[in-house]
Amino acid sequence: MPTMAEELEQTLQLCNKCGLCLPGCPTYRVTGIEWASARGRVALLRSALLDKKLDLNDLNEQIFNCLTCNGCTEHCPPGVPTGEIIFRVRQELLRQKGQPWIQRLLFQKLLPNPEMLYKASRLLRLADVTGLRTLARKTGLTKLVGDAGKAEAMVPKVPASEGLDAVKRMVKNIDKPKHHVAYFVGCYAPSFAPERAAATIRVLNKNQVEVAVPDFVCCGLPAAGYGDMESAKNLARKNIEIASEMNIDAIVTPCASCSSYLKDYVKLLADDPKWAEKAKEFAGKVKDISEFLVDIGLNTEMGELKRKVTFHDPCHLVHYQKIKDQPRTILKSIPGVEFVEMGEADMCCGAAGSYAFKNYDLSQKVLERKMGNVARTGADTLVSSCPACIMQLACGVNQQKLPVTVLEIVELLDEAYRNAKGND
Amino acid sequence: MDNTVSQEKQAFYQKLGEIAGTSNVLTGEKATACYTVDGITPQAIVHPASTEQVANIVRAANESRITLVPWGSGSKQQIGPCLEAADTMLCLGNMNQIVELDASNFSVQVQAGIVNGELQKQLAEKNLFFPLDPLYMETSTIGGEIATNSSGPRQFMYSTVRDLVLGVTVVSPTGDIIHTGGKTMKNVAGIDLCRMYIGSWGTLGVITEAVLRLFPLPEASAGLYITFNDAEDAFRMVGQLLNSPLTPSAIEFLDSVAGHSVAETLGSGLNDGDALLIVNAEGTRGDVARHCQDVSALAKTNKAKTIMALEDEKAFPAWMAYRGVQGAMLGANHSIVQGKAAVPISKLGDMVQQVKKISASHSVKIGLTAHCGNGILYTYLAEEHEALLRITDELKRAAASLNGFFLIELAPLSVRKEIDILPPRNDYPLMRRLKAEFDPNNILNRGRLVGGLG
Amino acid sequence: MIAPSIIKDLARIVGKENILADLKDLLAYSYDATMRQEMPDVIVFPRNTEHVSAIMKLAHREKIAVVPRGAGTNLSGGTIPVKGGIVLEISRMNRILEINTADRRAVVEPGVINLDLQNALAPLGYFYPPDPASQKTSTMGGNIGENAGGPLCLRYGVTSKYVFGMEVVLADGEVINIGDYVEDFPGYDLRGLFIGSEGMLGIATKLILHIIPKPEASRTMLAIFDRLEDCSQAVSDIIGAGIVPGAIELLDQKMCQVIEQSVKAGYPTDAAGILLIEVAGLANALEKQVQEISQFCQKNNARELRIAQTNAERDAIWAGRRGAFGSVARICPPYIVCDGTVPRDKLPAALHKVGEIAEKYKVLIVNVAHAGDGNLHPLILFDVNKPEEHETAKKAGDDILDACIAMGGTISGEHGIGLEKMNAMRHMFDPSDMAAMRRVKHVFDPDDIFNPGKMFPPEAEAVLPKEKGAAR
Repeated sequence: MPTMAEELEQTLQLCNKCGLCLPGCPTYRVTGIEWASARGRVALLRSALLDKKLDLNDLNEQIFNCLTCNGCTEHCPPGVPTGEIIFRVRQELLRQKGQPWIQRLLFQKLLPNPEMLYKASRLLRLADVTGLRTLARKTGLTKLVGDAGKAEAMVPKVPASEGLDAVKRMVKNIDKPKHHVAYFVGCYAPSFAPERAAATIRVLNKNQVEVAVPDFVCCGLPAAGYGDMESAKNLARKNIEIASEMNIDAIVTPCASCSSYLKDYVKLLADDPKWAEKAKEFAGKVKDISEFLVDIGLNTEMGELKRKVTFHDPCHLVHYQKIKDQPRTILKSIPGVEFVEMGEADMCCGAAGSYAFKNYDLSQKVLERKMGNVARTGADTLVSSCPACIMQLACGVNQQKLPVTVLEIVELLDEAYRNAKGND
Repeated sequence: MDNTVSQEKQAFYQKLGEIAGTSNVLTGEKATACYTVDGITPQAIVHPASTEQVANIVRAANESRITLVPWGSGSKQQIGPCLEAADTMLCLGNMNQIVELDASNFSVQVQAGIVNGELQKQLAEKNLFFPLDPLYMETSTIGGEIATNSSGPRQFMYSTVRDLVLGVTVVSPTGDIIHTGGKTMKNVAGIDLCRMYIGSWGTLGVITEAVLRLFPLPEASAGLYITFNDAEDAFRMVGQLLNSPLTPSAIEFLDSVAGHSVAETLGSGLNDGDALLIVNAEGTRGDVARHCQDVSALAKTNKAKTIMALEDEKAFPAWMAYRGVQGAMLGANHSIVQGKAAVPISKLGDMVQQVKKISASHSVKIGLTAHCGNGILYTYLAEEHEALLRITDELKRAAASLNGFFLIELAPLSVRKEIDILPPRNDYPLMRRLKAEFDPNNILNRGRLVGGLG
Repeated sequence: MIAPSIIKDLARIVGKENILADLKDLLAYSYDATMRQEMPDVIVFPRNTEHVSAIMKLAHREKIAVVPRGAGTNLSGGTIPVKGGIVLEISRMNRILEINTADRRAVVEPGVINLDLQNALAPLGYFYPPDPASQKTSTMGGNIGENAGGPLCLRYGVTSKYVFGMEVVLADGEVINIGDYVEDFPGYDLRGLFIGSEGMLGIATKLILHIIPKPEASRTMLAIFDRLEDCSQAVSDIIGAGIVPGAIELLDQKMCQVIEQSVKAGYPTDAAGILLIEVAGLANALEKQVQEISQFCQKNNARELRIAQTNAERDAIWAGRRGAFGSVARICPPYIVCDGTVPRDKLPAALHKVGEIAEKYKVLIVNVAHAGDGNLHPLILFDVNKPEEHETAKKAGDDILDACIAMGGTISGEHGIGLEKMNAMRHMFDPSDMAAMRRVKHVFDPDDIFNPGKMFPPEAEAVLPKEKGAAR
């Protein structure tokens, strides 16, 4: 087995230090510090792994405060995959140090099991109802999970919901379906935003798509993000297995992170002879919802929406999947919507999955920059296509008291379809 | 005068003959009197023929502590802080050749003493021109124009000396030959000495050669002569013109005092308080036609009284009349004072209003011309000494209140001796250190420019 | 190494949060876009002019080297801290202080990124012409330090034309204002000396820039040639006819091939060279220019001329050029960019010479050039794992610069001298020229605090000015 240094040597040397990645790196933009940039992170990893001038453990901050948004690679002439390098190094650090109990619980126990995840979220709901959350805040209990304590305010109020089962009950049979898809609901919607799941199903139905909601587990990205590749692979295998038993044209999700990582199963399982082929087949069917709707030809029988709309590109959509035009095509096709492009629309909002919980201060700075860009558009509606982004953006809008509504793209579409003439 | 000094000077004058040839050295009161500057008459006048001769002369002068004044055509010798010493005038008039005209690279290397107007004639034969057009260009030398950073109306389109001179050869005050810049349009090798010498008024070195950036003669040109009842209308129009995609080559303003002769050439007149705007356009026929059309339309919406669009050579008589304005205003009265204000471009109209107030409160006529696109206003006035100092003071305050400055350029010696010519700046100490470093014995143009301070 | 007490003093000035001094910090500031690495002692992020002044007073008192740094994208080694000391990082002084279109001025702090300024100006219908390839990243302070250029500079001129005034902190911490908001200020043109001085004379803390209205319209075309000579002759003919295009960029066959591997701009891979030509100005006058340019291209045997009809076509034509360096980096991350410049009509001869040099050293050289300015950017490729190849590439680069000098050109059109071209300075300048530059350095910075060890070749250090100035 080659060491990580040997494995990464060629990739690290791809960087010619031109610095063109700097504008694409949100953490560099808000701190102005070289090592908070892709070039800096690569240079320091080179110093640690190849030149042995540094101990890898001295670089914890640089390794874990990367948003892995891939904004750098977009700007990088040789295409250095800094995000991938960071993932690889996190994996190595995890191997050396082991995982904190809270992460272990999350990645290995909760995420593979929708039922348990739902129960955990109910605990939060209980805490809301009983005032325990306030107690936890006051006693500093939330600080147990590091920066997550500060970010606690960001966790949305947990609505009364019944988890994935509730989503399953939303499914309706439609007349003459043209397409059959499996809806990858993701971990967030069932517990925190069941209304968005409902909107997704309605929008798909309006496009002559019949929707099935199987028992998919977490896509695996959160585990991979913290270097727990074994957990990620187990989750992937489970999902592939579920899909293989279904007769579907596509696996559709409105969550950019999920679609991005589901497509990445090809790489994740490339070295697993038993699963590599299946992963390819599975990934080939995965579609982000905007990508899917534009592919099949969007139904434009919508009612008018008087909104001035701008779009935030989720990193997992624009940088990971190169999906940039489709959401805009959709927004522009809604009657009455005035679309305004925002500056740095494709720059990370600072959410980056659970990043905001782990690196609160830096995440806030990135968010502030994003809010400045939003405010400058004069839009009244901020649309995106990723639950983590939506959570972060909504939090930003609240903090800055902007007169802006934050919506998932499916929610806006749903509203437009409901407004259509002749609709009930 | 001390005898030993005198002997050393005698030896130097002897040496001048050896270096430049005795026929190129003039001594004696009669010959030197007409080179008197600021009341100082030099002992000798020398006309070197080459950069090497200049270097030998300057080196010898530095060794003998002889003060030198580089001299082109002498047209700017009366301007700015007073000269403090001038043993010898170093005249570059004999160095008036084109060294190399590289038509395909649009560059020409010239000796510093070539007269701008003469150069233009030779360039025109190759369908080229050098866009620097100070008002005295028919007599002023290229070296002098570079040394004094003299630009004319066309600076709005072509920029000023610093962007039109690609390189200069200079003899340093210690007699070293220094090459700066080159023939290329872009050049960032080393410290940009070329720009240091531009506008240094001969205090840091003697410019002996220059490489100039040339342009092809435009296909067409036109001058629009527009009169207004009120300067305010004129400047409103200028603001709109500047905010448009139009690219005029010059936007000149004249008040009724200064514009009188130009108006006469045009066969019209200007009433007291009227304003005249000249907008020049050059380029392709299409460019010029568009300018004539759009500028006229702009003029109309800004209550212009008369609009005349003169194409190509039809504009020449009026343009020549404009070029003669300064000379005419100065020529009439030797005690005339020429001042210059530089203000933010959008504040030029305000400055004109302020000058008018000042002129009214002192009941004195002040003539005005301006490069509107550059925020530069020239004032001409003839007034008794006492009032002049007060007026100058008020003009300075007016310009400063608009975030600009006002300075006296040309004035009788008695006036220049009495007033602070240069506006206050905090970089003069650094400039003086530069002067001391390059000219440790202060032999070149002593007293001039920053030498005139403290 | 500087004393720990100095770092404490610095922290007292700017606050702890604006200081970096751990090993990893020093490593991250040990490089720029060249292949060199030297360690600084501390990195300081001033927030305002007072900070910069206080830092300089301290550095001056303790005689510590100070290297001003923007985004560290320069291509000549200008921000490598060869003598250690303080890296003065301006990225946190990044406010646009004022934009006044009526005065045609923008006032900015030096850490403002070129493109951020452009983005602020664009909605007002104005722009700041210098557009270096690094404009998305590089700071205005860095642009001034290197006197940056770019494709648009053919028509509009380089950075030095667009900087009217600066607030500058000198080596002893004194704050002065050079140039002005208004034009035609009296005295020496210190800003002329300062622009392009590669951080060796002082540090600018505020910049007064000249901005201009955007042209009304533009047209972009691509001309394809089977002979490189025809290609450069067409450039001469176009400019000789009095047409001043917004830009004329030349790319040779190898460059096109490399670009097409990654960008897919639609460039031909079998043609000897192509020209990208953009004209800008008043809409009604452009059609004629396009026709004239077409004629000149045809006269010089252009085999094809494509005129962009839509914005998308225009963007496609430019995408290849913009991606040129990147495409090279994709096949070979390390390369040397030469920046030699020749009188425009010598461009064909210079390109020919570059070909000969490539053959002589058996190295792969691809060419892109700001053809209208005679500014060549030959890219010399080498394998980073083979030190001997790097050496050969450097030699080839030196030969190219010497060839440019021999043709009446210069060793740098826009990238500066820094460390990379120090030796070539000797080929370009007489000892007296260099002595005069050193005098200027001495006046601004007698103790050699600012960016020491750059620009002047070591040999020339021995050539002292012949007569010491009275100021000493």
